[in-house]
Amino acid sequence: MPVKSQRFAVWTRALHLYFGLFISPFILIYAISTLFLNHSIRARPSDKEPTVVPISVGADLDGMDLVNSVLGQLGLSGEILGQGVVRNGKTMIRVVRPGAIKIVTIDLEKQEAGIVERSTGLLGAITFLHFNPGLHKEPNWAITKLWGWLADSVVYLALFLTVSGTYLWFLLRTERRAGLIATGAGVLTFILLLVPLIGL
Amino acid sequence: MKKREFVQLFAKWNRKIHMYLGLYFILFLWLFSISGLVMNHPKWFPYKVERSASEKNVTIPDGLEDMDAARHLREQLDLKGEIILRKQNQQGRLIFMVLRPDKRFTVNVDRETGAAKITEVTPDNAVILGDLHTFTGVRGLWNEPAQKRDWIITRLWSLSMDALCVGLIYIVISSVYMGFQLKEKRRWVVLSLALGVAACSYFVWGLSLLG
Repeated sequence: MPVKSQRFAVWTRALHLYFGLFISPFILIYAISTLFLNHSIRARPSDKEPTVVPISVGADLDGMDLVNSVLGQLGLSGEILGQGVVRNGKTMIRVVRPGAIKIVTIDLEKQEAGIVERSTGLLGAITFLHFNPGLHKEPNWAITKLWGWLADSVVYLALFLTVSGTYLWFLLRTERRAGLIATGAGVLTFILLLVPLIGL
Repeated sequence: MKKREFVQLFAKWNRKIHMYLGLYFILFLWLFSISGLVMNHPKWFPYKVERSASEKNVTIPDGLEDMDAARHLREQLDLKGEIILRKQNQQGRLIFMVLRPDKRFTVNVDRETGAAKITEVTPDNAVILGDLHTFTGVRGLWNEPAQKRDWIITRLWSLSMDALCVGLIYIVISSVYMGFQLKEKRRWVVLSLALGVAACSYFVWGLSLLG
């Protein structure tokens, strides 16, 4: 093998190893949460005793201004679910972090906020991470945005690993036949499953 | 067999299996990686679907439970896919969906007259990719009282998801083993793994502890 090609192979092997090890825990999060989701096993939440905290908000506040004002007073941050729409003088929002949810009920008349802390445990945490940022809404918390950026990076690195892994396999002449059989079997399984799924 | 020979044989087969599993699952990995990326960026691929509706007359044999009736109608109407049967709220009617990633049929039948309205939704390719990613047959958001896979293809697809996950877990464990076998690179191996573990630990445990 020419020196240039050897150097390329050495670098590819090194990057395959280090990038692979870096994304290993991320892959475990996605793989383990998928096993649970695929068998409809959900996190079992447990709630702490609710607490009530006095707040001070103007009667004319509503929507996200109300939500941000109350969360600022309570010192809470996380992915916010809820628009702060007031009905009968009350509104409810959820402040979600991986493994923990704070359910905040704002009572404008009483000027107080009821807070229920819900723990969803490790399964809840990895499921939350698996679903975020996700299809249905833009993340509104900087940390969820950061996770989204990391999730994208994991995809790009995983794609790199598949290409670099295929290249490294191809360099091993003694493994070519067995590798071709494995690839062929995988392609055949994939096609046989995909054809009825997408009605081809 | 001596311990050293066993370790060598284990290392050899660990590497081979790592490689063969990676090659076997390559198309599955591409599908789930790319569909995950697409789902994380809905603005890149706006949701687009086409809808159409048709009417047909059907017969439902007496005495069938809702699920069995839905299966019977799926066959009668020549629809292929997973049946989604929510709690029935309209008396005298049977309403269910037949889903697969490239089609969504809603069937609304008047049990007395047998008049069936079938609504067909055809999503575009980006939506199909997303649906392949999530097509387990037992999704919480479908809100079915009984979450069961009733289409053989859904069962096989979810089985392939399980197989991919188990395969990936093996690939991860085997790569850590192979990394630690490389004594001259151990420092970088530990560093890259530690970076990944630290980043994930912050998200999985750190944020709830800090909040």
